[in-house]
Amino acid sequence: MVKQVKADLRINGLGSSSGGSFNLVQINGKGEINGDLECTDLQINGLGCISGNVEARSVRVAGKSEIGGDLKAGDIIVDGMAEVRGKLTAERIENRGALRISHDLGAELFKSAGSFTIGGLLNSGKVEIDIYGSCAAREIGGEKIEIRRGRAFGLRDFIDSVFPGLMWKRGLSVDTIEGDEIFIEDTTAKMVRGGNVKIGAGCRVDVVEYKHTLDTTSDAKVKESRKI
Amino acid sequence: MLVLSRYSDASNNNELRSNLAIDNVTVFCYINAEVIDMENELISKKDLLELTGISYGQLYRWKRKLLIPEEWFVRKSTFTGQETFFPRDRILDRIAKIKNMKEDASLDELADILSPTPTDLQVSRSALADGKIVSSAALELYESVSGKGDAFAFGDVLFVYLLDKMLQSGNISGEEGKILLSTLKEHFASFEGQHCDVIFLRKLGVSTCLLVTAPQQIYFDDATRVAGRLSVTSSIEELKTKLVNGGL
Repeated sequence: MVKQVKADLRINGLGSSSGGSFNLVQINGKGEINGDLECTDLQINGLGCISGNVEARSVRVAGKSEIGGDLKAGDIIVDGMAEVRGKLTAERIENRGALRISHDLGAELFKSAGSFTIGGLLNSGKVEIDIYGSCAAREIGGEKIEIRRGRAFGLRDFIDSVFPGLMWKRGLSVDTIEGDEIFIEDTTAKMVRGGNVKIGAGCRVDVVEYKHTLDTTSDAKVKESRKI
Repeated sequence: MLVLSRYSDASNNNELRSNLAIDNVTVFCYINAEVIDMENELISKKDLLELTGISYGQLYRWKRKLLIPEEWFVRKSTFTGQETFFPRDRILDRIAKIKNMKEDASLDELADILSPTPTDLQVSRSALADGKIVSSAALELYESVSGKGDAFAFGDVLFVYLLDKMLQSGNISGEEGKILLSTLKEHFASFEGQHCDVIFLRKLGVSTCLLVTAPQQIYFDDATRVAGRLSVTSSIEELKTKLVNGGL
């Protein structure tokens, strides 16, 4: 077999491509890719629209990206906004902007310090979420799940403290959370199930089921809890 | 999906002609289109974890690693909201398998063993010929049909293995084995990645072989005998396990 050296695809300014297999794909400006894309590294600085499925070793979005199909990657870093209309599978996901996934998300590590919407199941070995903005998922499942209130002080918190209720709601809303170790804050959930569960400040949970321990702060509202 | 191949056994054929004056036999079959196997009971996720002693984390990890197929997660609404259920027998069987094998193999290797797609493994003829995986009779029959080679791709080994299983069970003859092989050769590829069953039928001395997607309920007319039915998916699992354990 002849070893093929894959070419780079660079779009600077405005351009489009029909996809294919590349080494580095870089979009600076506005780029449109009509089809599937396979590459080593995908970098989007600006606006990138890809209509098909994407497979890459690493993905970095510092701008806005829209992917019409599934996204499969090793590492994903989102500093801007990323939308995936299919499934997302990765080793590590780091979100510092806004993430919108229509279906399931699977990863070994999911780290978020921003906002996200996940239409399906967020399934990750380790889930570390700092809530900034509004976060939502249908289900969250994994081994270790930590959901904390974002600690930064911004204009938002100032407005919130002067005119409470003026800003839109901040927090995470989810149907079910299931995991071995769970710690949650600022979370609204119908059902939380796990081995060791800690319910922190600002939580509203309908039902908690736990195997070993349950720890609830006085600030949290839990309607019902049972040990299994 | 249904693939049908018809074959008349040569020796019986003459008899049929003289007695019944036909050499085509019509087989009626009815396929239940509801692919979700309703006859299998469902088990809730909570009960499953209690019964098997695994944790949520493990279950989610296995799902991520594709050890448990996506289509087994059945979402249903209950009085506590949406709950996830599984086909009981299959999930219990699968979890027992994973627990048994995870000491010897990594999760990625396990995923490969359990996936319904053939691997890109190659097996040399000499390794197959020692009779541990398939009998030499099956191997010879296979070679009489498709010629000799030094190395077998996984797909070929699978065909020999299926043939061997059918022959060993005594349900089909060597001649009928050839029908099985030609059906598999021609049509198995069109099932890529899907679960499928191979069914062997006999009616009025005529043998035929079917490939159907699994799980599928299928019924035939009264005069038709199901000589043998094999799940290709579980055969793939068995074969992969044998190959891995045999160090191939």
